[in-house]
Amino acid sequence: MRETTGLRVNGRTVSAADPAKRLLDFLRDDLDLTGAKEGCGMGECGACTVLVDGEPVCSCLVLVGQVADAEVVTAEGLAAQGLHPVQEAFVQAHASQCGFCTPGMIVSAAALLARDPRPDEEAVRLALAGNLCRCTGYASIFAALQRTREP
Amino acid sequence: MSTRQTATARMVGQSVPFRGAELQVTGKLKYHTDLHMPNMLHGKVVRSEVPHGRIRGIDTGKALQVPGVVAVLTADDVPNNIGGIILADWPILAEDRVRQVGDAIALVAAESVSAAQAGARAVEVDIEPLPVVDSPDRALAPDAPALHETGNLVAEMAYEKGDVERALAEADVVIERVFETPSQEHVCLEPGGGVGIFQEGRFTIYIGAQWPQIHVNEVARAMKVDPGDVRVISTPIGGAFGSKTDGPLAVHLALLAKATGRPVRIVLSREEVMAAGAKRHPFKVHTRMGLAKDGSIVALDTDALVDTGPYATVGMVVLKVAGELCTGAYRVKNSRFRGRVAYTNNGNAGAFRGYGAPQAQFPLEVALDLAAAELGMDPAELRRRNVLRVGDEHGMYGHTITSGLMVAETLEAAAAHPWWQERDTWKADAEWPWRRGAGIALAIKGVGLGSARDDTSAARLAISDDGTIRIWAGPNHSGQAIDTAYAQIAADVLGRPYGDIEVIIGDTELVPDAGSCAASRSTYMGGMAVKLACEELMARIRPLGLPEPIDWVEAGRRLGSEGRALVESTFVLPDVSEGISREKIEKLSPHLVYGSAAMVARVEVNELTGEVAVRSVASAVDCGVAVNPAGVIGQTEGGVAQGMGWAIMEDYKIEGGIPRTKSLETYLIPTVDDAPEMDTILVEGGDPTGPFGAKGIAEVVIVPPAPAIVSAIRDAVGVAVTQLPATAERVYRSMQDAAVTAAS
Repeated sequence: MRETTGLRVNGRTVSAADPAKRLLDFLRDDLDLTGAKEGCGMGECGACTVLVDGEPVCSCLVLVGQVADAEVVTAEGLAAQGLHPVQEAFVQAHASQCGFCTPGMIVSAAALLARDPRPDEEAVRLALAGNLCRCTGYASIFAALQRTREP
Repeated sequence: MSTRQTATARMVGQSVPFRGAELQVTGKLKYHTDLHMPNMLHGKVVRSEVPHGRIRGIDTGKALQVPGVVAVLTADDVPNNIGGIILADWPILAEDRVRQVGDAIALVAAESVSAAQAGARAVEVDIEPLPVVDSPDRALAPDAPALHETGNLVAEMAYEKGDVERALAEADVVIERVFETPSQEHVCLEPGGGVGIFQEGRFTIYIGAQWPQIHVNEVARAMKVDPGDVRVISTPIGGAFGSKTDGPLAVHLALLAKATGRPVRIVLSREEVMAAGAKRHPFKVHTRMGLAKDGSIVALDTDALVDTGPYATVGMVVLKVAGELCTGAYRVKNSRFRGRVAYTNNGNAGAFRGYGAPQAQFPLEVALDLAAAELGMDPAELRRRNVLRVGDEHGMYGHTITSGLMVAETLEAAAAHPWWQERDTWKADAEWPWRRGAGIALAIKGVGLGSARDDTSAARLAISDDGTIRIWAGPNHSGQAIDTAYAQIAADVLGRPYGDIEVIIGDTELVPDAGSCAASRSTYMGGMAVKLACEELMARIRPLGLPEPIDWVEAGRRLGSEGRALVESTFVLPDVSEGISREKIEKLSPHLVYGSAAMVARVEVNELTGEVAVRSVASAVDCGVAVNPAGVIGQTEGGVAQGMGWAIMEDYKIEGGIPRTKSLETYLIPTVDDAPEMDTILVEGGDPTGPFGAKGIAEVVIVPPAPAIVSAIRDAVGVAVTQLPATAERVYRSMQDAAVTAAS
């Protein structure tokens, strides 16, 4: 394992004492970034999704040492300069209910929009299929993504 | 804050964004999993790995030597080792016997999560396996081992209106089937858990709670303390659907907090939730339906056998709801219900959205569909000829249907939807190997606990010297944005801007007990309590003679100086009164107010594999007046997906009492890729007893998806599925069986 001197979280350089710690625990327990949630701990629900160098990953499946030189962005980080457009769209489209899956869902959606600003329905299905939501039935989430395309 | 401004828009009926949504989308909302207390310990529950057994001994010695372990507790450490919200049949920690995989046996508190896990693994439990009762049929056999001293029959009810046997004998068409509806796991994305604190003789429990007061009562009983010494603060709930009402978790937190004198956190793992958490009650239902040639339902006989697992929890009430709803949205001349609830060593069943309504109305709707085919009648037309209208007698108990029920209108709205009207054109465009079909179904579900149950909600309102309005109200919520709805209601009664109303929910020390966030009651019951509190405030302000628009600072100051700035209100669920005897009301708890919904589902079925894909679902929902239409639509869409999961995907497997689907890898719920296209219509109506005409619909919307989908499958490939979920394997086998039957 490499030292984590190059790890940046939400634009800030941080150091992690234990490279064998799960990235999810490091974010939540050491940095008090609670946006990444643990829904299953097995990479099945997507509630812990964060961006690692722009790619959405389940932070419960990643050790800190594996992201030693990476740029990590969480749902909190997306809102660094006010709400990210996808966050604003989720609020306006009523796309969060209990809200537990929401930060992870938003991170996946933000990653999609970063590479495809006008995704079609198929692209949305592909990009968000790893993020489970039990409240919304996903229709309002489609609507939120649609909203980000409007001028 | 503006103090001299009146609200310009009527807030009820506006889809205002949900309160707290910005905290959710930015990850800043703190759930129980996000709480950190100074000096906090981590708890772990030691659970049974066998479904049924006698505990010969528990050795905690090695666990106590694990570095970091602070305390290990067993049944001996529980002051009053009993739980269960209706029947006290569920030990907080198993004493001499375990009755399901996942039964709690011991508790460990440690300095870290990993130490707690190591400690839990080091607890040695010697269990002698006992014969497993793995089905309600077996449970009720004469030679079955009794799971409790009272035997395996938890509850039984029987009711008959008219003469069912005679009507069946005289009917032109009789449909007879046995239906099986399965268990279902709630799959809240937030696993259960919480933090317990014991300080100066008082307990404070942070827990995601649908009904915070129930945990106060459970902790007080088990710890032998006064309920006044227990405070439950509900953290925001990351999904509930019924799963966060009961169970021993709050008492586990209290036990560990008291034993260690430090805050203790427990977060359940997904596997623990899947194995040990409550599930939907599985039902086996024998249905016989008789119809006349004109399509009128002349007889309905329903016999239900219910698996509640090893503890009763709410099984007897789920049965009661099923009894009331076995005739669904229809007039039925002669009807009979017999129901039995049995203990088994399968996982415990508990509250789950719908609470017997889906289990009762799935058989009914599928039987109607088969009857329509037999009569050569359009399935919507058959329903139209029987659907309940104002002034009708309820199909089972005979009480009078009020003007609040618009179920006939939901049927018309769904039947008029293009996805139903243009189904033949759509079906003709199917591309092999996919075949297409469409189905329609409707449902009702009572709002609140039912008549003669003393179902009460409460609210407290204060106006301060600076004119601020604060409302402490309940029930709590788990994603329905109930605080948003309460603020909308208050804004309209008070004529104040929506943003000026502060709403506080979820803390038993601050919020009066308003009952559970369950039974489709939060908007209706809690909303009425809020409305009454606001009306009382206005009644106190009016005599002050303040000029319009009201100066709220002045109003607050004047009422404060008179000691009249605090208002409390209660609202009691109205009982049915017409068409039914008082004795029956008390025994059967029928509802005066029902929400209703009708849905059209379009599916494609792969004729080579049996795979079912739900392409679109149109819903027509009768919620009275929608306080927040986006909220109602959101509940509906979520119900459609959860109902679809129950219908075709969610296959909770338990074999010989051993759960086999303990992760989200083996228990599949709908993803965004499974989600059908949805269209939701809010049918115009209004319940005379609800706040601004509102009533609850969060449960009824989970009922029609399964029968509508099963009807659509039959329309596509000609087989009627009677056992859910309609997995590819099951649909394929039905198609094969039908082909064999046709060939022979």
